[in-house]
Amino acid sequence: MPLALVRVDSRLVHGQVVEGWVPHVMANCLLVVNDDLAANPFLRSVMELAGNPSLRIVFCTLDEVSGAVAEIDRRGEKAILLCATPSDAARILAGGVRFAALNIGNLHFGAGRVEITPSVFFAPEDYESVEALQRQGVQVEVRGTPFEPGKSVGGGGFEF
Amino acid sequence: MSGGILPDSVRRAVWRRQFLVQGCWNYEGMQNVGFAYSILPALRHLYAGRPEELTKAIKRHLEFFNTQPAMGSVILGAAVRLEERVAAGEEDPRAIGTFKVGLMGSIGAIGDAYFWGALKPLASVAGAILAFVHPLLGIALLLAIYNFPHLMVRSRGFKAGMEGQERAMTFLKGAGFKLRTEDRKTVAAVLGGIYGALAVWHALAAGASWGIAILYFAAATLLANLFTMMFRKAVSPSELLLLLLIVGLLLFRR
Amino acid sequence: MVWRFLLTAVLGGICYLDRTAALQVMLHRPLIVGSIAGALFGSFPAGAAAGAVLELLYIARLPVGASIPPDDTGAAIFAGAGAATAAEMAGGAIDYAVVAALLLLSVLCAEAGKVADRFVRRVNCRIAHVTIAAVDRGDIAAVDHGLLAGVTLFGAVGAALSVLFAGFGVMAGRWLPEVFSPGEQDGFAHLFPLLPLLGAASVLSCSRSERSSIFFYLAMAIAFAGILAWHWGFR
Repeated sequence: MPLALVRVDSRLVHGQVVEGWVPHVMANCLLVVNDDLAANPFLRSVMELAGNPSLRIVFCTLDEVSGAVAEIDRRGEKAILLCATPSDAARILAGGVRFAALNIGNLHFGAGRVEITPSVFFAPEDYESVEALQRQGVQVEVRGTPFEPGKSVGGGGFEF
Repeated sequence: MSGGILPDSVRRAVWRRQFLVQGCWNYEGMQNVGFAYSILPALRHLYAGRPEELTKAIKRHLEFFNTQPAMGSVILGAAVRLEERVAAGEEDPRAIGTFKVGLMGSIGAIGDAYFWGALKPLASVAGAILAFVHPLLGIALLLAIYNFPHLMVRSRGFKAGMEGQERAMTFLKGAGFKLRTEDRKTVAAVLGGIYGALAVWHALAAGASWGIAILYFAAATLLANLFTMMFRKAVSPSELLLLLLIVGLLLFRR
Repeated sequence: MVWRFLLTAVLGGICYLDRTAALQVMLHRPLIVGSIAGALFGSFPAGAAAGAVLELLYIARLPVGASIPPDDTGAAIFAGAGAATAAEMAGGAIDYAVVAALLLLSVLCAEAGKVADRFVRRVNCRIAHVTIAAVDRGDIAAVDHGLLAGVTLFGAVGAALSVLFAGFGVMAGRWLPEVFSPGEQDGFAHLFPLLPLLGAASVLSCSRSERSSIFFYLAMAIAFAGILAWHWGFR
């Protein structure tokens, strides 16, 4: 399995990922799964600047994800998969990419969102996606960086 | 593309205000109030006499925003440029939000790796070594190593951003942050080694023999290796220090 | 004593502001803060010695997003004030057993400061809400006021923490030398060299490349050999 970590993060590639998780899980590839980015070459080119000789950054759409993971596997790389929302993560799982654990790093605040941790705010549809993932055996954990303790969500319901 | 329409005094006000971009850092919007505060002089000038558009413009900068504060100067400059174009009717206001949100993560990643992950450790270790000679020299070196590149990025990045997206991109590529980050980290590691050697030397009692010195050195290398491994496994320095405190209390009891 | 604490509040507040709210020109680094605390409480060299060790201990913990590193500024105020108080009472001599104990105890300040930092950032959510609501009503100046409120809060909490930690530091600096009998090599004095070593490891852990590790140990060996040769000559 080439995926060292599957993470939901509104900001996708940023400092917590590049300076925190990449060295922690010793990844050498970031797979950014996002339809908006795949269609925006300017934003992609800026995001690529966050890579370095030992960190390749690849982009794909939600539909292409299983092919992209197979390609990473073929190259023998260890990757962190990044997507923007829990529902994207659920679609990735449904698309045939298996993963046992999901890390939720940042979900930005917005009207009607409920605070889970200071940097993760759930909308109603996020609860649904997370429950759907859990029903398929995925362990969901809210954790910004490797330096802080994780907070597990789930076991059927949410604790507040 | 029309040239900039803001007077220099307004640009300078925005540039100065970027130093307070984290002044109201909060969990929900992070740097949102700070960013709106920074760009406010430009908005006031661009939308003078159009209060409703001014309110709308401020509101779009009160949306969630977070990036590395020094590298954020590039985004701030580019946002000023975009606001000029929006005020002149050449750009859709929604493009500003898309641009900021799209860039803040990437620019933050580059900035966090360069400033927090490489330049700060380099300045710190260089300062800590020179502090053995005299603390004031150490302090001066620390501030100089960090702040020359820091203020350079704050001003050049802002300028490049204000010249448009392409120039901002050229700045980010041309500044070679990737290579600089790796180089600074390597130099910091070299200085870290020298600092470690100084620590071992200070642990040696006066009149120790070569044998003892080599023994101490070997022990220090092993310990440094152990500590590094623990830090890389995300063990917190606080935990290690607390452990040492307990060890100290046990030894101290005798 | 009162003017010392007043100055601590002002200078500590400024250094704390540099940490997050304003500038980030590294005035908040422990080497600087420890030296200032040392100068205010009677011994600049003692404060600087404590600050120089603290400088590197937490260097690998980055302030990224909502992840907040331990408060090494507060730790440096505590350890700097304590080390200076102890040195002043001992006529200027630095007792490394006391400094080591202070540095280890400073963990508590670092963690307490982190909790206070989180509190400020939570209160700032309220300030941001009020600001946004006021802008909605057309009150443009609310942006300036909201930011000023945030900066004031960061500064006031920083000043309060500075006074508190300096106070604890002075207490610890008076008490610890009584606990350690003078001239005796006790546990904490033996632990002291481990702390800069932790700092060195912290710097190395900022980099993951093979090259950095090799350079680190090479530099350590060459520097150590050089220092020995310089001080002892080739016997």
